[in-house]
Parts: sequence; structure tokens; C-alpha cells
Amino acid sequence: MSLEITKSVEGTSLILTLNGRLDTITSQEFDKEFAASVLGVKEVTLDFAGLEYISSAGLRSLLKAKRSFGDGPIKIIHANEVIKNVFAISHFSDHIPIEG
Amino acid sequence: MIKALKTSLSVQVLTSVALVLVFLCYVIVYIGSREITKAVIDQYVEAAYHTARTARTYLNPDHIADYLTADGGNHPEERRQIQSEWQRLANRDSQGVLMIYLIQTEGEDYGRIRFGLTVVHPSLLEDYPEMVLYPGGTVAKSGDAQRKAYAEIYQGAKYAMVVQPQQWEEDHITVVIPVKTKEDRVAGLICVQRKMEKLRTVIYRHAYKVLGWAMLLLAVILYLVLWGLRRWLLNPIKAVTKEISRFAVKNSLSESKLGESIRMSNEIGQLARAIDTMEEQTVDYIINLTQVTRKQEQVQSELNVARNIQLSMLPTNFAIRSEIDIAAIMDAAKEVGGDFYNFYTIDENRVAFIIADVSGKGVPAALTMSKAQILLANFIYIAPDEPGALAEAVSYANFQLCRGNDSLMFVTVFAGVLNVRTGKFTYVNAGHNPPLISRGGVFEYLPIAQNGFLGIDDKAKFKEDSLSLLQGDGILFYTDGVTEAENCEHEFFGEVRLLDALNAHVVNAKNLSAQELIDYVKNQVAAFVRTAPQSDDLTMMYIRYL
Repeated sequence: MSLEITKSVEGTSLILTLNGRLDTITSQEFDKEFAASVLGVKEVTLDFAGLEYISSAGLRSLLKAKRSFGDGPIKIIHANEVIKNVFAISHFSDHIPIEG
Repeated sequence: MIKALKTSLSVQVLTSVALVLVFLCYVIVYIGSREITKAVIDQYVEAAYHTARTARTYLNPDHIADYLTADGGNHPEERRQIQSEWQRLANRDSQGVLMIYLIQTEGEDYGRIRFGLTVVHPSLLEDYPEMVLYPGGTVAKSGDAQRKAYAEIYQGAKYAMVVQPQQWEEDHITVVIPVKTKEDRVAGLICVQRKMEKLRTVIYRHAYKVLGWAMLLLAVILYLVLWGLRRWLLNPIKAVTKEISRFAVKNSLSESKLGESIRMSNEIGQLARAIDTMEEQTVDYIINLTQVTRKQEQVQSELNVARNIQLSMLPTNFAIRSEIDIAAIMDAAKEVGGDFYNFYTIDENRVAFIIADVSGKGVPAALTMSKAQILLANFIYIAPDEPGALAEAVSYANFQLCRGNDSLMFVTVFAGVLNVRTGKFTYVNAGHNPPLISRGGVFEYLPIAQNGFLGIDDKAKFKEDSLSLLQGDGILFYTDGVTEAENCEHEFFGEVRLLDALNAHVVNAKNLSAQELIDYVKNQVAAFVRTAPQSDDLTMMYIRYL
């Protein structure tokens, strides 16, 4: 199981669609991809429709992403129940909100 | 092996050279024999032609008809005179004139000849007494080769020749020249037959000479080839083979490079230099590999020490109070992990329980874990026994963990304090998995106040909750290593399975000791995961209020 990231830019808003798992190993890919995509972007949407699982390392990766984005607006859409539960337990929505 | 190579290579090369030389010899002999045959024949023809021309000078072309009679016709004296001149000519020639004779051809195809004058060498008269001079007018049949020669003359050739027969066996040659009248009519033909050394003898002599020289040359060339082969091929190959064998055993550079002892620009030299390069690179690689291996071993041994340190940070004495039965396990996925559990007595009434999970795993998680463990243990230990104090202790720890946390390592924590006298359990859940509480043998997830995890937001506020434990109640703390234990089909053990397992009718938490319950859950998880590798640290702690 790995992670696939597809990128689309509309104006200054970036949409990263994640497919697979965001864990210790794949979070490094996400870190790189995010850093490479975020230049000149004012708003980031992470589409989690295809994301099955996120580990604590994945959450840390999201925190780093948010930090590197200068705490600019990042939101998550289409998160599944497992991920919503992880966010609920860890209160992660305090850092990055899940919409929808 | 070297000997075999040497033998076979030498044999192959020498055989090839010998074969080539033998072939060359054959070609030389063949071409030589043709040339020699031609030269020998030319030589004889020239001499015979010369004799024939001399013989012609004695003749009067107009009297040919008289010469062709036995008695000389109208000019008997002249014929006799010519006869004696010719005889002198034949005798004088020590080189082997056998016969000089004058003939006229008869018939369209020159099939017959009429003899005119004939003289033979005296030696022939002795050896062949029966070979009486053909008297003038004698008619004889002519052979094919002769007829061809006569035809050439009538077609205008200055001379023609008959080698009898064409090659090898026979030993004489006949040159035919015309005797022409003033009107340029061929009145007769003078034939001069000469003895010829046997061509085969000449050619054999030539061949033996060539072969003799060729043998000598062959010996010299073979010697040189053998010498060159050793000098430029076998010895270098031997050196290369020796060096490779040495290197295979010793894996070290030799004192002198192969490229220095084999100073050749050809393929062997290139091979030698390539082997030098290979050896250098291999040795470098071995050194590098040794270093890397050593470093890895060092890292491994350090990790082992770190593991011991980490394990020694976990409490080992479970019998801290008679009112509670405690059991716990921690299985790290790697040598060191980011999970920990802790319990200790704060004062005569209170006992603290902490379970935590640092984001990620391995060394970075372990470092953060030891920091978190000490901070939490200390702040909770010194927190006063009053409402909100536990939440405050957690927020102090959070503040400390946030400082300098550039790598954004965060910690989820469940911390609780149990008053063993009253059964009051005060707890703070900072982003951690909700524990399960067993009341009257039935497990349920503990209602938790929603707090974020530690280490990221230094201004985070934490809320605490509390409940009362009755005798026999228990609380199971765990980390996500339990609920996110994964089987080969990438399914998680999950919170539902955990709850169901605990509430299965075979389990009656009331009757199980803490250790038995932990073992049960552990086995359930193991049965679910089966052969899949452990992906995360797995930590559990169970307390039973007695």
C-alpha cells in the first residue's frame, strides 16, 4: 500500500488529492510533494476521498505542512469515517479542519 | 590450469602457423613448377630453333623436291653436301640435338609426311641401331601434335613446337620451321628434335629445394612464434591469472600493479590495467563496506542500549498498592518506540496512571517519549490534590514539550489519577485513544473530554473529567497499536473488535486478573494479525480496582 498524490491548481488555490495511506513511510512523499506544490499558493484543500488511513506520523506531516504554509488556510474534504475518528480523538481539527 | 592453457594455446598457434606454411609451400611449388616448365621448354625451343635456322641456310628452297628423293634427283651432290653439313651440325651440338630432318606434308590434314633429309646424333645411332635414317621419299603417318604444329606453320608462324608428349614422361622436343621459296611458299619443313631433361626431374628438384628451405623457415618461424607467444601472451596471461588468484584469496592490493609489469598497449595490457582498476575499486568497496557494516553494528548496539534504557524507564514493580491490580505490556515495532506507560504512587491515597503515544516511531519518537514521560511524571507528581490540577499539570507538560519542537513531534496522552481510598478517578485525555472501562464485567469506552495532543500548541487548554470506580471495576488503557493492528488484508483490529473481544461471553473481567486480561487482549490481537508484520508499537495497561 502506498500513497498517490494528484495535484491541481486553480488560480492561487491548490488541491492535493491523496489516495492510499498516509503513514510513516508515505508521509515523506507527502512532505516533498506539498513543499514542491505550495509556492505561490494562497489556499490549500486536501481531498481525502481516496485516503484510507492516517497514522500519527501522517498527522505530524499535516502539521508540518500547515507550519510550512505559514499557517495559511488549509482544509480537508471528503475524509472517511476512520480518519474523522482519528481527527476526533486527537482533536486534530483544532489544527486543520475537516469540511463536509 | 595454466599449463593446460599454455599447451593448448601453443599447440593451436603452432599448428595454424605450420598449416599456413605448408599451404604456402604448395603454392610456391605449384607456381614455380609452371614457371620452370615454361622456362625449360623455352630454353630448349630457342636452341632448337637456332639449330633449325642454321640447318635451313644450307638448303635451296627450289630444290626441295630433289631432296625428297632417295638419290637426290637432279642435285645429288648438293643433297649429299647438305647431309654432311647437317650431320656436322648435329654432331657439334653437345646439348643434345637428336635429329634434324626435312619433310613435306601430304594431305589436307597433313596426315602424312614425306621425309627428305635426315641426320641423327651419333649417340642415337649407337643406342638405337635399328633407327636407320629414313631414306628420302619415305612416307610416314604424322601424329596429332605434329599435325597441329604443321598447321601453325602453314598459317604463317615462324616456328612451331611439339613437346612429346605434352608433359612429364617424354624427353624430347621438336621445333618445326618452314623452308620458303622466293614466292613465300612453304616448300618444306625443317624439324629439329632435341633431347630434353625430364621435366619431372627438374620440377622435383625444384620442389625439394623449396621444401628444404620451407622446413628451415618453418623451424625458425615456429621458434619465433613460440618465443613471441610466451613473451607476449602466455607469460602475461600467467601473470594475470596468478594475480587474480592471489586477489581472490587475499582481497588486497599487490605490491606492484599488474599494469606496470605488463606494459603493453594491446588487449592484454588493457586487461591488466582493467584488473588493476577492478582491484582498487573492490578494495575501496570492501573498506567502505567494512566501515558501513561497522557503523551499522555500532548503531545497532546503540539501539540495543537505547532499548534497555527505554525499557528501564517503564515501571517494573506492579504491586504498588494492595487496592489495585496492575498489568501492562509494551511491544515496540522497532528497537525503540514512541509509546510508554507509567504508574506510580503520588501520596498515601493517590496513584497516577499515564499512557502515551508519540507521533511516528523509532529513534525520533523514543527521544520525544523520554522527554514526555519525565515531564508528565514530574508535573503530575507535584500537582496538588484539587480539581483542575491534573489538567494544569498536563498543560505545563504541553508547554514544555512545545518548546523547541521544530520537528513537530506530538504526543497523545491519557493521564489519570486514582484515589484508591475513595475510588475517584480523575483523568485528562489529550488526543489519545479513549480507554475502556469495565463496570460489573461489561466494557465500554470511557467518555472523554475533547483535548488536543501535546507538543504543538503551547497555549492549548486541557479539560479534565472524573468518575468513581467501584470494586471490581477496571480500566484498559491502550495505544493505537492495538486498534490499528493490521492483518495481511490491511484490515484494522479496530475499536469495535476490541470492545467485542472484551465483552465476549467467555471473558468475565471480574474474575480475570489484570495480567490475564492483558494476555487475553494480546492474544486476540495476535490471532487477528496472524503473520502480518507488526506495524506500530503496541502498548496496553489494565488496572483493576480491588
